[in-house]
Amino acid sequence: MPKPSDLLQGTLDLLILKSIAREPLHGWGIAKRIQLLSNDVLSVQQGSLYPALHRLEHQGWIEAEWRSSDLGREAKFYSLTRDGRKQLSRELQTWDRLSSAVRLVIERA
Amino acid sequence: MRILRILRLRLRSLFARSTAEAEARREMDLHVEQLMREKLAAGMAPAEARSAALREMGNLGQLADRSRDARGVRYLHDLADDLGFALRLLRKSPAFTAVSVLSLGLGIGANTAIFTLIKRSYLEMLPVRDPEQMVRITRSNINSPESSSFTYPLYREMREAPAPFEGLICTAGGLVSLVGADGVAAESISIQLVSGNFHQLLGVRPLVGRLFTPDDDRHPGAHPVIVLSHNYWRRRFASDPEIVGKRVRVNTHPMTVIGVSPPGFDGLGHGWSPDAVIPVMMQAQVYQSRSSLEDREHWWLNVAGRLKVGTTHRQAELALLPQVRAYFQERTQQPGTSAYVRSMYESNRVQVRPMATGWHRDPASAANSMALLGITGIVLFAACLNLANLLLARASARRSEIAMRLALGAGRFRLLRQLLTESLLLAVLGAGFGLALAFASGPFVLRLAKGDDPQLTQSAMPDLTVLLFTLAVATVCGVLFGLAPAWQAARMELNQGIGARRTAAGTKLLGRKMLLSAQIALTLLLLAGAGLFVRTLRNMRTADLGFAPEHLLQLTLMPRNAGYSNAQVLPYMHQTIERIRSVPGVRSASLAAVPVMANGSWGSALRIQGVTIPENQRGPDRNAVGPRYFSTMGIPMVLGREFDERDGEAAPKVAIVNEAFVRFYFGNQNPLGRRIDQGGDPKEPPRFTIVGVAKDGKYRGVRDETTRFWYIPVDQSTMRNFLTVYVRTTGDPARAIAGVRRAIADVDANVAALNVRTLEAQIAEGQRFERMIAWLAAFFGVLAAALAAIGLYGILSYLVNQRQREIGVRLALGATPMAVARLVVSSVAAWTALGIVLALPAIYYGSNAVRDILFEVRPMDPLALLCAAGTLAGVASLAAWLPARRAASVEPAVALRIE
Repeated sequence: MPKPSDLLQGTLDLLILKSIAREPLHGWGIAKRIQLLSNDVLSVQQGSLYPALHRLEHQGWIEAEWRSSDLGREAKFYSLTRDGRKQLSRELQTWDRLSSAVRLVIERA
Repeated sequence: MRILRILRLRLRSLFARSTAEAEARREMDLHVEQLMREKLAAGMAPAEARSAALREMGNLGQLADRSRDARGVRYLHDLADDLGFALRLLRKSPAFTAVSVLSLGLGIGANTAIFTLIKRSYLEMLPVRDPEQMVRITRSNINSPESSSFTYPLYREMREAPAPFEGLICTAGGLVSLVGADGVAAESISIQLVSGNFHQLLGVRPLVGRLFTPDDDRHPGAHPVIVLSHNYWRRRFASDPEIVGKRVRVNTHPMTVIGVSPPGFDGLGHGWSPDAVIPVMMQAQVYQSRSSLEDREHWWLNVAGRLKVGTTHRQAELALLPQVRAYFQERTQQPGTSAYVRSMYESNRVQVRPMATGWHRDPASAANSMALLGITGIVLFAACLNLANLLLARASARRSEIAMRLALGAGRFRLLRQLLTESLLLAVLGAGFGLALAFASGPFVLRLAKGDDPQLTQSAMPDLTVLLFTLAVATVCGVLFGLAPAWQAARMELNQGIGARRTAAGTKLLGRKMLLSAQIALTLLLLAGAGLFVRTLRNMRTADLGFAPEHLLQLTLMPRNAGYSNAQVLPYMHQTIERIRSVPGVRSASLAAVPVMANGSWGSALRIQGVTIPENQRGPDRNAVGPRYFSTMGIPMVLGREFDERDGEAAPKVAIVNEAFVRFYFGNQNPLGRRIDQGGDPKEPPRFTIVGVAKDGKYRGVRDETTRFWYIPVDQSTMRNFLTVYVRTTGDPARAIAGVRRAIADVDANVAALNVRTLEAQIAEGQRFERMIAWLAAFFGVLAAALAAIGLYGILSYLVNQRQREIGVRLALGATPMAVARLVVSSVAAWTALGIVLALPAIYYGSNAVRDILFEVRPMDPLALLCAAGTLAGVASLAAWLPARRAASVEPAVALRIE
């Protein structure tokens, strides 16, 4: 089994928020989407997704709702709250700053 | 918005905890299922697919824990678990729970009620401006102890002197009859005559209208104004906001209400508020008597003052002394003044006493409150010891449980938290019970201490500071000792703990045995106190009063307050007495100017024909009484006759003396026919001829020393303002009250009957404090004994359990059951004995400290001590009997197989 790349501390939150920005998704869907969009490079350690989701929910960034799903059963769908959207843009900015800084360092070094 | 959402989620995970957990579980199961499906689709075998999926998912239990942490309520959940566990434990040992909660509750509740009483009565500052500047003034000389009585001229001279006072005020209490304009019947109220600067000097603001100013104090008779107390305004006038300007009649004299003093302000005292204050300038009008404002011989006023900032009491005393000296100086200049009288006047001193906490009339009050504080302090202490002992006992019982938990991997911090939760739960239950007890017992204690005068303003509500203090003491004690198992656990080797049942735990009990000793000492102290106080009360009840209080009714009439002139009073009184005598059930009736057993006295100077009165001795007391007073009261005549109808105003003046009087002034001579008088012109022959000798008795109260006493007929005296009627009945005097009241109303409905009560009730009134302290000491003593017995029982049972195997061996080797029982009991007997020994010096010190409260009982009274020790011994034997019997009946074969 391929060992998933370690996610940078804090980036899991960003990935979760971003992946449900367009439409509500359940846990499985989020995991798949992150995998898919990163061309299988990024793979969330399956179990640790859930404590992260619950933490975000309790921080008020995302909200959840049980409804029927493509999986043939009811699943818990997570979607961004208004505060979550703001949080996402904040985190994106932070990420942009960080990644461009890192790129600069790499290019000039 | 976000806050609300978070709050909703927190609450949900707190209260719908299982739902939240199940949802998380369902979610993750779904995920595992999808993973499995992928693996199956990739061609894995079902079992293999499942384990691979689970592996990929990670530790589900750990994930659930992390989710729980993410929800931020883990600590709360643990707390709920701990609470549930603690509750189950407490329910499982109801006896332990009941005794602990009882200990804590009593410690908190009873103490709060009594500390509150004492604090409100003696320790709280007066609600006036800068109370610490307030002082009361007294004077003394070699012939008379400290007295707080002053004449108006002396007050005026002190006030005008350049003394280090912001001002001096004077007050004089009294009873008057008040009639409003609203047609409500006349009622007797308690008033104070005060100087005009009274309210200003105290710094009190009116609740309604205005209060007195020095302008209400200018001219005798010119200030017909009255200020009501908040209590009376509410009670009598239903808090009428339009009260200012209303007219009332005070002893028939018209006066105008100008204001109401604020709630909480009770004059110079605490908890008992005069109903109204009236300017002292109105004294003659209010009492319809001659003015005392210029009288240099009438000592009727109390004086208080406010010291200037930075002045010491000593400076104030020295500043007032010249005024007092000068006042008496005039008299020593009269010709014929004896050397003794001169030295008496020269020995006059002034005392300035602190009054920040109010005017405490009763000098014994400080000692009394110390005794009450002592008892409650001991109870609080004993309750804490008892609780500590119980909790330690529990700690030993739980050693192996705790060791097991540690062995199974419980964190020590987590364990500590659980024990703390248990202790706190116990403390909360105890505090709850204590709180309920404090609220419930407050009114009872207040009534016990103060009776139920309408003038009482003291609140029965527990004092918050006191409540918090006792709560804190008991709770800290509970929590501290509740953590004992944790403390033990911290030092415990695991295997030792689990195997603890096998080891002899004798030395481990040292702490508990010491606690028991202390508890027994305190219990014995309380019981000894109870014995002394109960005996005091009993002695007071059975004391020979010199008259027969059974079947006696008393009531006071003040016909002057209803408008009778001095000359009209006696005809009215004789008519009323006649009328009362005809009431069914009444055997006889008479009257007296000074009521008996009411702590009042009427001192007198004395002249006796042919006898030189020793100057350095206090003079006799006297009374003016009506016809047939002695037979009505049941005072036996030793010689001669009693007063009767022939001793009228115009008849030859006669007197009756008591035995002590005869012994002191006449020795062995026959007193009958000798002539005496109350002073007056020494050249005139004394006016009163002695016609009888009455048996000695108690006059002011049960604690009276033998007093030299003489009587004159009420018709031949000038004491007519305040007359007390005594009625002897054939049956229960309380049943005659209605008939007697009707008879009085028949004669004149405008004269109010005051202080209507049986003489036994009047006597009991004087023993209020002794009764209260005897009850409290007995109640707490018995309770402490019961708690000590429980402690003793607990230790012995534990010992018997611990030593079962050893006992089995001894029995198997031929020890008799008796010897085994003795072995068990003796291990604790020594500690009980130590407690008793410890108690002895405490009892010696304590009982001497309360010596003044005792009556005809010596501080180390053997009977009281024996009773106390007997009670304790009885209770202790009872507590020891059960475990001893269990030890004696151990089956060796069973005990040896316990391993």
